[in-house]
Amino acid sequence: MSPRAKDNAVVAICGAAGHFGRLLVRRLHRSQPVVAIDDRPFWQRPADVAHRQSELKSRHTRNLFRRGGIHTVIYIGGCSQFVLGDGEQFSFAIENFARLLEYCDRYNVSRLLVLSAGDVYGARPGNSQFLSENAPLLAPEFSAFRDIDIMAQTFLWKRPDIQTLVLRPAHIAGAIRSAFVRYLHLSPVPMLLGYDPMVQLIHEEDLVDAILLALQSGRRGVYNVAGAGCLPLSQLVQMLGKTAIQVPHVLAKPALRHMNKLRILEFHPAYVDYLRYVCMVDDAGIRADLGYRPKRSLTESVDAIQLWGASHSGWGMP
Amino acid sequence: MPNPLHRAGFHKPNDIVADMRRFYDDASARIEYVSSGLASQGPDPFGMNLEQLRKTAIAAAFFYRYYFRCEVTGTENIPEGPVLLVANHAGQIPVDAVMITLALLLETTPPRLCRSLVDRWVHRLPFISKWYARVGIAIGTPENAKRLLQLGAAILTFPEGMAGVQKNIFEAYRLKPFGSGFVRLAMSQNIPIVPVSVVGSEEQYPTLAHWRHGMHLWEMPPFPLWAHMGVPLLGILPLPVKYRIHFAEARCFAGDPDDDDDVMNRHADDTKRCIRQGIASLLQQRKNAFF
Repeated sequence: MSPRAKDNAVVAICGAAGHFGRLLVRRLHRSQPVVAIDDRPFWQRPADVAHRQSELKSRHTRNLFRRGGIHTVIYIGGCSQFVLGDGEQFSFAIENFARLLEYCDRYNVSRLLVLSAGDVYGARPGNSQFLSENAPLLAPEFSAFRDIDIMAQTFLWKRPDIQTLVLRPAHIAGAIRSAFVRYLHLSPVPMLLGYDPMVQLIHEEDLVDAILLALQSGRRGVYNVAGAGCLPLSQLVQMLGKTAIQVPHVLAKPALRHMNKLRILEFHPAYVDYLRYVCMVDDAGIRADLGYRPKRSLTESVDAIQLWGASHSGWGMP
Repeated sequence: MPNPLHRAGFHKPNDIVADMRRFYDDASARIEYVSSGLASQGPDPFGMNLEQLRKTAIAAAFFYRYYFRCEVTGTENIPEGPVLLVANHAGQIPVDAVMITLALLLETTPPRLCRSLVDRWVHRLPFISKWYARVGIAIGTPENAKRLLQLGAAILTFPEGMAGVQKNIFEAYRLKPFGSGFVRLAMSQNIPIVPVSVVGSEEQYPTLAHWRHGMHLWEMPPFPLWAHMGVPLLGILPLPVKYRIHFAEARCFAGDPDDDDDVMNRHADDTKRCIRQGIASLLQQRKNAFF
């Protein structure tokens, strides 16, 4: 993307009102007109950024696309959707995304970037240490981001003229409300007795860099993206200064199921597998094709998680 | 670089203590040499912890030397750089893998760390899966093997798989069919294969039968019923058999790694034949399983 050449090409960011969305908006709005689409209020919005406070499937959003001028769409709703266990929320996310694809198909959008998640591969005992983009998507069925990822890939082949990119990042380290960050801010942090999988992090700023790099590259396809290095989960908990509580895995799933029902903790029981088996991504593709290199160290990524603050710690509903 | 491992024999009780002390010093120096080399490469992506590896290797080295009295030949056949070690497998638990790993660590100059690949179901087991990762053992997928080879590691693999390790005593030293995945891997990475023959592992747990009922509920393989399992306390230990390991001459297979199974199976059978010859030669040398 050469910003000056496409001054009038509007970038629409879906899910812009969250922490990561705001980060992306701040990096983009000085070089390009940006429209934020989010049904949540957008606090501290830059003055030159328009905000459409509506759902993706509402007529207001359709009108926005219908008027034309939207050149690029960035969908970042997928990065924090692991917590969706409720059937209604699940179908809501899928319906919204399907409608977004319809807008891209009909209203001359040239570029679509979908932020998926590295968790789409699923945590399984037979996983390779690093999963390439060709690995099957075996995340549990309830996870909306897996379906969104598959829909985006279908769109990639259906519309070869649109530059469609799917990024699958490792666990995002920052002040975001992803399932993994929320898990790390429980106090004490539950771990599975006798298991200690390796985990990967990507600093939120590195991910913004990767998104911008991917858009500029003119390439289409699916890319994993990860930060610098990986470490055992227990070491991560230790670096965060947290205490871990060891839970036998045979008790963890039923306990989580009941806590979910009683609304004590909003994690799907299948998330337990991610604390048991390794699920890390191989980002050799984006490094080779786009020249991506993470700029922040592993320690900086861990520090970024700590920024979420002690105010969010505890076992209550987030 | 550490000197070749101390191998003085001992005859008097005082010699045993002195011998063990010297062995400890030599083994520690070798493990330290390997650890410092690995530490310079940065954190291991497979989760290996050098401190845990060092402690485990020191403890296992005493079993290697004084319990199983491991005898190793052919270490000069192991080429430098990435290499695939292909061995016969037996003994219910992978003591043979530990012995081969220690043979590379304690008997080669310079000492090398060999990374083993294990079956996928192992990662279901609590504690064991965690400990395996910490001592450098990885899940046996082609992607993991390629990544390790790209790091310049020596990889140990057992093409007989679970069928090999679960053999009972009546099938001792009868090799099970070899998979051909290791041939494809070696061809695709253009690395040599070293056939490794191991004698002793078949008798460490002389297994008469396997208990199969209900094991699937625990996602576990059939449980072995071995001859000395009824002996109080000592029944869980393997018998103090003498291990003999022979590294045969390295071989390179040229060709297309995506060739037909028939071609791959021919190469796999060739490796198997070499291992079988090694086993026959080692069996001729020994008086019985213990000496």
